[in-house]
This record gives sequence, C-alpha cells and structure tokens, in this order.
Amino acid sequence: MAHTVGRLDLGSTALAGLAGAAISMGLIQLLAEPLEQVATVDVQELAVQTTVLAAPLIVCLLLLLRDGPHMVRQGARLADRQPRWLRQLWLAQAWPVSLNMVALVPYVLAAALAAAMATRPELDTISDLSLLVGSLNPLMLGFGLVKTVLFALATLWITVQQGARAARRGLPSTTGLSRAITITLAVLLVLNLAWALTADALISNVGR
Amino acid sequence: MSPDPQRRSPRPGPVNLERLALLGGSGVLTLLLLLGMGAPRNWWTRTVELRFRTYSAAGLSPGMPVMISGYPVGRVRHIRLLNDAQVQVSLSVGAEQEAMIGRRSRARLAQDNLLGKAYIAISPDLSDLGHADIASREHTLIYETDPSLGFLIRDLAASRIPLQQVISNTAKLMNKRLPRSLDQLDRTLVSGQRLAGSIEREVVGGSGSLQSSVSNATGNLETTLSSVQSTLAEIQTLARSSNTLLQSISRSWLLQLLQPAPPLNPAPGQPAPPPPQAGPDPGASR
Repeated sequence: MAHTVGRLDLGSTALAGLAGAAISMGLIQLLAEPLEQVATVDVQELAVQTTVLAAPLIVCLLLLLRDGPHMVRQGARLADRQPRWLRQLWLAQAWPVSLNMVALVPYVLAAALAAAMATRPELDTISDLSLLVGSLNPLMLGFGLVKTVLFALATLWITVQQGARAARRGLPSTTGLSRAITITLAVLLVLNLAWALTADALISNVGR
Repeated sequence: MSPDPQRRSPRPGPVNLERLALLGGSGVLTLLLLLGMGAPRNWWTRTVELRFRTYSAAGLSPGMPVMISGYPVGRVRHIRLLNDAQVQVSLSVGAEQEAMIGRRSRARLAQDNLLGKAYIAISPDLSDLGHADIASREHTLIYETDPSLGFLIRDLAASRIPLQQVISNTAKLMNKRLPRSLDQLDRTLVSGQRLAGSIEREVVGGSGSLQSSVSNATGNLETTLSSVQSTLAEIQTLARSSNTLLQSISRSWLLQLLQPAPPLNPAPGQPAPPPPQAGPDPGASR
C-alpha cells in the first residue's frame, strides 16, 4: 500500500488530541496556581483560546515529524526532473494534506476543552463547556483553519523541495530532512509571528 | 522528452474508512463548536437591537458580551461615533430576554475580576414584566459609567487640597480659640460653684424661719378653729331658742283674732264652710 502524505488516522488524531490537551492543561495549571483559583473559567478560556492559536502550528509540526521523511523521499525522486514536476507533486498533494490537517484542528480543540474541564472537576461540566465554547471567537477559529492550510502547504513545499535539493547535490535524504525540518520550523514561526501581528490584531479589534 | 506529470501524479487509493470516519468526526466537532459559539451570539435565535449613548467608548468593543444577572444574552454589535462627539453603541439581545429590559433598566460596563473579560451588564426592569409592549418600546437604554480607578485617584487628589485647608484651619482655630474657651469654661464653672454654695446657704438659713412660720400658722389655725367651733355651738343654741319662740307665737290667741271671720249664710248646695280650727284655749295655754 502506497504511503499517503499527511495521513488522517487514529495515530495522528491521538497525537493531535494529546498535544491539545497537554497545552491546555499545562496553561491552566500554570495560570491558575499563582492566581489561587481565582477566575477559573477565565483561565480556562484563555488556555483554550491559546490552544486555538497554537493548533495550526501543532498539526503542521505533526505533519513534518511524521511524514517529513516520506515527503523528502518523494522530492528526491523528482530531483532529476524539471521543477514543474515538483510543483505538480505539490499541487497534487496539497488538497488531501490540507484537508487532513484541517480535520485535525477540531480534535485539538476538543481535547483542549476536555482537558480544561478535567482540570476543574468541581465545576458544572455542561454549563462550563457551553461557556467555554461560547467564549471562543469564530473568526479566530476560521482564521486558524486558514492558517493551518497555509502552514501545511508551506511544510509540504519545503520538505519536497529540500528532498530534491539534497538529491541533486548527492547528499543523503537525512540531510535533506534535517534541513527541511530547520527551514520549516523557521518559516512556520516567522509566518506565525506575521500572522499574530496582523490577523490576530484584526480579530481582537473587530471580529469577536 | 519528459513524461507527462499528470500521469505520474499520485492516484487516489481505495476508500479509507478510517479516514472517512475521522473526517466525519472532525466535521461533527466543527459543527458542535459552531453551534456552541453561535448560542451566546444569538445566531440561532431572533434578536432585537438596543442602543445607548455615552461620552466615552473607553473599554467598549464590538463583540463584547451583554449580560443580565450575569447570564449572557447578547453581544455588542456596533460602536459608532456620532456628529455630536457622543458614541452610539448598538447591542444585539435575544428576543426572549427583551421582556426583562424596561425603562428602568440601566447599562453599565462591568468586569467580574481582574482577569475577567469586560462586559455590558444590563439591570433588569421587572416592574412591567409580562406586560411589555415590544412594538412601542423605545429601544434606548441609559448608560451609567462607573468611576474608574483613574477617576477616583484624580478626585481624591482634587479633594486633598481643600481637605488639607480645612484641617489646617481647624488646627488654627483650635490653637487660638480652644485655650480661651477653656478659660471661660473654667471661670463659668467656678462661678457656678459659688452660686451653688450661696444657694445652699440661703436654703439652710431660710429653712428655720420657714419652719417657725409654719408652726405659728398652725397654732393660729388651731385657735381659730376652736373659736369657730364655740361660735357654731352658740349659733345652734340660738337657733333652738328662736324655734321655740316662734312656735309659741304661732299658737297665741292674738293671731287667731287677726284671721278673717267665715260667711254667716252659705249658698244652698254649698257645703257649709268648715268651722275654724279650734286652737287651743288661750286660757288653757296659760
């Protein structure tokens, strides 16, 4: 069976949920302990919203670490071809990879919400869950999905391109993978910073 | 000649049930998230628009929650700067909760705690609950601004100078007038003490003469009473003798003679006048 890039399976879903729960619970513990349980619901809201902001980065890191070697190999196979082959490969895989990565974001959020509720078991779970979900910003969620698509496409392109580049230079694919990871991380962080400076400010000011 | 890239592109594999299930689950989760996010924003219910005006939009922002009794009922929809430099804020409130908002309702900016989000709190007006006429109600609220910490500090600083002046004036007044007032009070107390002493002496001196006067008056009264008693006894004796004298006079013959004589021939059919009552024989009485 051919290896599919950006797979959506139980493993990747579990990893995404685990990451979301870990971030949410960690933030709640970090913030609620110094505040001595003041504003618990607000801390939960803050943690979940932070997870929403971090979700695109999380799923793209999962994509990079899980399917990076395969994407590098695919790029290396097309090293001796013209550059449009790489673009064609990228375009052919862009849709399924983007869809799979976007589909992981709700699981990250659901795990973050469940972790937030589990952190404060003394509270009424149903009403708190509705409060938490209601406190989420729809624009933030929508922009987060768009950001996930953008990050996934950037990750896919960088890894494929770095695989082809390493093959053209006669370097092992591990070198290409290492370089792809470094460049992808840098690009994603820069994109995230630019996004935080532009789109998130727009969301905070306009679109609650 | 290079091969066609379309032919070498990855072809879709067989239907992956696991992937489809996870995609479906993701879609359901997204739908639930949208439902949950839309509930406090009244996406799925009918809403009405309320407005209020304020001189400052500080702390207000679109999307801010609107709450009644701590329960979210809507959102801030628009904030608009008007030509008269006032700010008009439009609220979107669920139609079900509109009956709780009346003429006495007030809107204010509130925050539950230091880290909590700010929201618009509307005080409910339960005076005409159930009788609210939605069509005729003017959908304009009165906005009350809470004094912020900056305002309080500024007011405190402004009130510090007059307060300090009042305190200094009070201190001056106390330094100048209080010793004098205390001296006057001392003198007044001494005078009062003297007055009390003289009154006490007067009372002690006057009590002896008063007692003798009272005893004299009592003696005089007893003497008068005894003489009155003897006089009364004499009057009683006099009355008794006068009574006896009058009785003897009424029985005397001289008075009988002075009475008119009866008619000699009385009319027929008339009874004869009764004979004069015979008095005692004058001779007998003698």
